[in-house]
Amino acid sequence: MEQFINAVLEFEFMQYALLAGLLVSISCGITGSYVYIKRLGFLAGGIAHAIFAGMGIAYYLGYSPILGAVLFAIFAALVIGWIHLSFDQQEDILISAFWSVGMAIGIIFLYRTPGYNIDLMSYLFGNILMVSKQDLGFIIILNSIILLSTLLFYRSFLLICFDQEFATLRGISVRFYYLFLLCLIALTVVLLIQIVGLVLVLALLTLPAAMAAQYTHSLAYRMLISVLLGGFFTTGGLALSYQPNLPAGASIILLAGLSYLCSLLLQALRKKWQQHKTSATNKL
Amino acid sequence: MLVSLQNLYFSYQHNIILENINLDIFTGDFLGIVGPNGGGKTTLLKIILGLLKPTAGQILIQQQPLKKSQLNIAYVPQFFNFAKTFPISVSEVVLLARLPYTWLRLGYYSKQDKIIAQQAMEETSIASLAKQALKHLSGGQLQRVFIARALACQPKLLILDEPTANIDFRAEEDIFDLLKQLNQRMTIIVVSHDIGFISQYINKIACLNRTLVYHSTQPINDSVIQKLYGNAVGMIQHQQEPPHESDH
Repeated sequence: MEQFINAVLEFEFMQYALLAGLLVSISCGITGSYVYIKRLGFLAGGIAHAIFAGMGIAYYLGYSPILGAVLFAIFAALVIGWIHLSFDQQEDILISAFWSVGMAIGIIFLYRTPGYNIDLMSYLFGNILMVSKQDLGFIIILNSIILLSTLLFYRSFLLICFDQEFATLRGISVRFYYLFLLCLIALTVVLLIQIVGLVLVLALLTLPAAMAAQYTHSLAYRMLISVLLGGFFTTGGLALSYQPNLPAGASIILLAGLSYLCSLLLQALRKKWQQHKTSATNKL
Repeated sequence: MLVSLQNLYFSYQHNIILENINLDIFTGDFLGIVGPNGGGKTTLLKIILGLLKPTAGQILIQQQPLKKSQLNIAYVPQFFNFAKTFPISVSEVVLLARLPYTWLRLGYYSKQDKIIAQQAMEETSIASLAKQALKHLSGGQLQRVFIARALACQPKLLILDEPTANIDFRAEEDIFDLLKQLNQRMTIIVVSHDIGFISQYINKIACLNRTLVYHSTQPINDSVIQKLYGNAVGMIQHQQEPPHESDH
């Protein structure tokens, strides 16, 4: 741990990595809470993997892969949202297809790019230690968009998540806000790809929100707790991975998974204890 | 005249759900729509609300087509389509009714919105539950929350679909007493399968079984029910004597 603190004080790239992890946690906690309550995990997974097509194409054409990721994330969110709103029956099949075809397109374009690229692994599994000053600026911009949108439309999002029929009756466009929300989730996925990579995105998106859900019945508080937990996981995972030289992204996810498991066990024990207590008082 | 349905038809996948409905609803009415399950009651409500489009015929609201209508209609559905664990409190649910009016305020509702929501919760006797999470409420309390939400819309027309389907008789009476009181300032349409019980509260009745079998302001009697259900059914009349055995 001491070595990690020294490294953070000494190396610029460690400071960037730490800062990136903390910043991304903000978006992750906010949109992750929506993913959790609307059970959008599968849709988010589809978006995350389809983004790979955008990265591959951008890479092939010589543009920044992240630019391709942003554009394709929006595109994927709109397509998947449209599938969800229009095809009730085959939704899972269509999203699975989109998921895999997106990956396939990305792989083919990367393969055709002259000169073999080492970046493939870092897109798939993330590389938080490679975050540059420029990346940090990009993270701040996307973060601001997501934060501001949520502040402005918090109640509209809450309503369309809670009761779509009532929203329609009150003249609030469910379609618009649903697609808007998916776009915010897609942008969060782009942010997370830089930290843990697209394969591991889902855990970081859902686990903090799932843990927060065990402790509070207010969406706003859930978001706050999720943000704090996300910050803890990225920082903790980074710290744990430093000395043994483990991949940071995988360590972050492992920490999140283990924490979730502990939290589940604690909750189960607490419930048992309460039952025990009430049955004891009933006997008296 | 508040709402006028004219030669209304609705079919779904070649099944005719509603056939030649002609119905006028006047300001101040307390209309009960009764009829057997699958008779098209909910469908009719959804057409008035604009959630479903009629296959033929037209619907006029204050002499205007539905789309142009400015009438403030509130709706209390029969089934609540939300996850039991949804993280939302009673006051949040009621306040969401104010959303269209405070669309782009950063995070907060206006003082007036809060007053309106508070009044709605007091009127439905749930003000003490304001901070409670929805998942901790009983069926009767939940029903009141959704009536409070409808009131917070400040409607001219209140539409309720089986508002007492999931609650006990005592709470059922309370809710209809409340509706009777609300009827003094708004028009109410209520769907129910319990024709005997609601007859003491409503002032108009429409019996629906695919088409309007009966539509009158007169008190309802056995011959109406016979026409509606196709065979004689014992009628429970709560207002005159203790309920006796019914044979349906």
